[in-house]
Amino acid sequence: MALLEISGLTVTIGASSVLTDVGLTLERGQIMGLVGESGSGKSMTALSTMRLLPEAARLSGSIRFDGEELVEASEKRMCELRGDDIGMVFQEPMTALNPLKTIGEQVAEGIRLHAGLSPRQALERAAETLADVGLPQSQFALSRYPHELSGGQRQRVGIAIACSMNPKLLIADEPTTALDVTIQAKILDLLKSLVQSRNMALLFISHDLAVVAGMADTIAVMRQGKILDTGPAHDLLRQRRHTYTARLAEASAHVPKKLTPPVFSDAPGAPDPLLAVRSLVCQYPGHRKGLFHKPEPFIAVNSISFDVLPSQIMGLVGESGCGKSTLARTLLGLHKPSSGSIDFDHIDIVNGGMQALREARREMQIVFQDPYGSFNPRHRVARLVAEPLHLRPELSKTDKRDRAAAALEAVGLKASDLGKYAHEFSGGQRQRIAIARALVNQPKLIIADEPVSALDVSIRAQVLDLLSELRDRLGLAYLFISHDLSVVRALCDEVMVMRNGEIIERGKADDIFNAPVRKYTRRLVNAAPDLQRVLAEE
Amino acid sequence: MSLEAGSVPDHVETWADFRSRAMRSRSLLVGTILVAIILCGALASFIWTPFDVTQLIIADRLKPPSSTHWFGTDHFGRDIFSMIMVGARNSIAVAFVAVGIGMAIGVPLGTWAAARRGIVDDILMRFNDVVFAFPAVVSAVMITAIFGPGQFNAIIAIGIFNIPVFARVARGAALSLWSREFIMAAQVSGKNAARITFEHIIPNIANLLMVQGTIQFSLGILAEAGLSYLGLGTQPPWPSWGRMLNEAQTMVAFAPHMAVFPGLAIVITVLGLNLMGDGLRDLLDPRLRRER
Amino acid sequence: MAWFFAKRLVSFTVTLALATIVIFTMLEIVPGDPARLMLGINATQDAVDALRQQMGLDIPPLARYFAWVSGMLTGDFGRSYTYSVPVAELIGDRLWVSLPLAMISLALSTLVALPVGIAAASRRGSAADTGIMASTQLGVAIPNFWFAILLVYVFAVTLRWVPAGGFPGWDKGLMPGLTALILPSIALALPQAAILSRVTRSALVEALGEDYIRTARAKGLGRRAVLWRHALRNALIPVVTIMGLQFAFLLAGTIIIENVFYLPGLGRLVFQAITQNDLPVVQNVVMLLVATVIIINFLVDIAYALIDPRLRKREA
Repeated sequence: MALLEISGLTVTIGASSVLTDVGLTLERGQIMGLVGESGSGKSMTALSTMRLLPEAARLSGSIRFDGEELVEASEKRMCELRGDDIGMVFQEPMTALNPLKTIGEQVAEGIRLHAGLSPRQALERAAETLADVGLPQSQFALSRYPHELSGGQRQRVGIAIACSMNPKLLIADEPTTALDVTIQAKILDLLKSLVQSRNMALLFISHDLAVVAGMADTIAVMRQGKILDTGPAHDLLRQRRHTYTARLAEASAHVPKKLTPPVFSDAPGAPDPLLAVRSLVCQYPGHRKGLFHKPEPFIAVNSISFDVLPSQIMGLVGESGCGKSTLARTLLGLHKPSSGSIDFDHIDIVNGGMQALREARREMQIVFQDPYGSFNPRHRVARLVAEPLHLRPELSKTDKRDRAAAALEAVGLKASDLGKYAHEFSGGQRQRIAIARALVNQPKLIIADEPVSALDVSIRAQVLDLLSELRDRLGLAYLFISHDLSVVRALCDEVMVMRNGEIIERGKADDIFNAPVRKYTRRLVNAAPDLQRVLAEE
Repeated sequence: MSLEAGSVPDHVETWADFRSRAMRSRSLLVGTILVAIILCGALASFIWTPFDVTQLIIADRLKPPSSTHWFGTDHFGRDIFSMIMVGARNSIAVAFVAVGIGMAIGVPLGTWAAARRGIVDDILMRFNDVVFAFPAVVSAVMITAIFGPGQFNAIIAIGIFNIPVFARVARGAALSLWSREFIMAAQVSGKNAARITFEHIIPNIANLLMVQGTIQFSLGILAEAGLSYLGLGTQPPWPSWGRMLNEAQTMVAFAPHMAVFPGLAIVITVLGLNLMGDGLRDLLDPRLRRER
Repeated sequence: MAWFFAKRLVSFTVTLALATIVIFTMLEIVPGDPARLMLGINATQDAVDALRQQMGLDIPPLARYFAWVSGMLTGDFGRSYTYSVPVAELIGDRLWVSLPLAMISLALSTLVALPVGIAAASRRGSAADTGIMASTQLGVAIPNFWFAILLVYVFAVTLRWVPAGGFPGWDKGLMPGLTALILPSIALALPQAAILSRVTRSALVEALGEDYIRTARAKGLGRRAVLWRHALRNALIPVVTIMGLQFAFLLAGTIIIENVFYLPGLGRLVFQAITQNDLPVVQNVVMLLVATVIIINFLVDIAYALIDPRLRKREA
């Protein structure tokens, strides 16, 4: 008898059906990867198993856990099972812990509830569990609060809570999506070793095929509330019998077509740089440590110099907090640097005053990460796309509209979309609108700050294709900022690796990925999930 | 929130959807009806009232409600129903102007503080804290001590109290908008802070200000009633709800109707405004919408 | 914690200092000649001059301001013009009516509102919740002085359980004093209780929607347990904020309610002082009320830090 057997599971919320006839089987001690793009119903399947669906949800079908039917189980019975026989780890380590309780209390709470121990005994057990997940009491006292821990450490606490009672089944819902790659690799290792040492079954949910490929014994692929494909991990990924699985696998390793040959700065006869940054330093005022201490400034960008050539795609890679977003803002004149110079197309951005900045911004635009937050929800597309034309007061209204229409068509949307609002478009389409807005002034350089990080893999591939095609057609240069190494490798000519405000390594994209020199870069490259590599290792 | 919950297709809403949702919102409907009743009474009083509120007919004094005098008469024989109609004018006018003062000063201050941050923000917010420490009654006491009682005092006192309220609401909402990417996109388009505030910030916080405005309006009605009860607001011979209650208090033993009706008028107005505010908030806040 | 406390203390002191400037300017500079204002147009120049000298108005404003502030710090609030006694003495007497009144109503409204709000939140969407919310909506809309008049009509005039107004003084014993404060406290507490229970409910409902609640449920905690152990403390922050704000309204409310019930408190004192043009009394009582509001806000800030460990370390 399998540990978890789901069959005919159907969930509806109101009139919309969230899950349709979902079935899967998970054996004891096994890891099953549940893969799908956003909205595919992965989390809903997990929450159904925990019976923690939103109240409006209606659930039918069968979920058998260890021979017991959960769909019929009483709330009281479910409370006994949750946290004892089934543990769950959630996606957002920043919000998944109660900010007002110590980590010791939060881990001990479940132990007290299920094991009936005294508060002191429960705390001792909590300390053991925390040590097992890599938070030994000697360094991480039980009296710490969640805000005193980093994202990765918080996720370890989340895992400790879920594993404290040695559950038979552990459900992990995108447990590493919010974390940096090097941390992600550590958390994945931790999960694997816990599952082995405690003989737990793991239902591992992720949008990232490469991550799942490295973890799971079996894989189930979901889309639009249905299971499309399921089987042993390596068969499923190698043979790709199902077209959707194949598409997903291809998209996650997608390399856009490039007509322009890569532009290298050390090539003989290289043109003058379009953007030249020299010894740039950016500081933020720090927090005061006491009444009589001067606040120490926080140095976000520490003496950085680099060039971007015309038509070059320059990648900038780094983990969260390394200063890459501050750098982008400073280049655009949104943040004043403490020292150094930025020369863009022979315009001095740092000391040139407002006039120079206006001139530079015509030729240099930005695409942001969040396809939802980058648009004023009250404006129509025509106005959104035309906004940078504010820099060209000489244009008439019809000129502006024509240019907006042309920009929309350049990114594969229709001029008739001008009258719509941003919320009428999907995430990928919104990102196209954001690119159109950046294009409307016919710039020479676009700073792309994590432009595909919020998108599903298939959409991501399309947007990367678009960016590459636009460079071929318009001769654009990009400063492409990302935490995702596979994307940077696929698109960029040259790459810079940033850490703690400094650029620690730079070079041609292939060189950096195939033969990284610095230890940190090597760690970064090795930690990045890579489907090809996982399949090759077998 | 997990990726999946966040990507439940966002409610693409047309104007027709919005209207039908507005019609279904019960609190908005009831609130609007209550406010409309009072408003109609106030407007009608300009051209017609059942009786003249300035005419004293001692023979008719302290009559209980009847078919002639629907809400009875007061100790000078004036018709209470007519007085409530005329009193509505005062209450609404005072509260409305006071909210206007609060918005006209508070919103620019709040959005300015959010746009400039730093020292400007610190100074404005400290100023806000100070003003906030003066409840309307206390300001009214001070103003009256210097300039003597009058309706104008009530307006100023309530208006001053509204300034920090609107400044705080506007600042908080504007600050959260300033960190949004579409504001950065506007900056990269070369727009300055003032222009961004008018084009992007104010239209996006207008909903919130409208909801707060309704709430402050209802608080203004209550405050005006309180001040004119103390004699610090509207002066005779103009009737006002608060003063009617003051006069009713001494007669409550033998003419309780004098106290009941003006009070009910206040309750209906305030209740109506609060229901409207709640309804509007539910209607305009997409976060609450999803929860339902 | 110490750092947080120090920062709040500084901003508290600055706010308080600014408030003294505002009050001093409003009552001693704006009127031009306060002595003339107090005596009226018909007073002789000699009488005005005499009063100016008596009140120390011939000293330059800046010196007068510092004299006033330093006087307050040593408990000297000047002399009342009408009563010819030190204002501090008047305030001392009247405080023993106003303070108990405010405290009893605050206690009353909190004791009613928290259970009601928690009950509504734990049964949200039910008929009980809808009923509770509808009645609090009504409670918010009722002006306290009208409610006071109705209470007097029912319990004093008709049923004759309690006196309609006045205050016997604490020297007549605890019970008569408390009896006199029952109706005023209820009248003050009702609208506050209605507001507070609405805030409690909505803060709880919001907290119950947070991610950490789901984590707690996944540990095996039931709905009730999650509400008591996780949601309640997180919901306390907005609740404490509103309680702080309410205290300001409560003080303002006492001015009105004391006049409804003829209670010899600070509210009635300041009200009478206006009608008698007794500026020293107005100025110092207003200062006291405003200072109380600022002190309460300061205490609320400190309470935040006690509730929320995040505030203790970093800045807000």
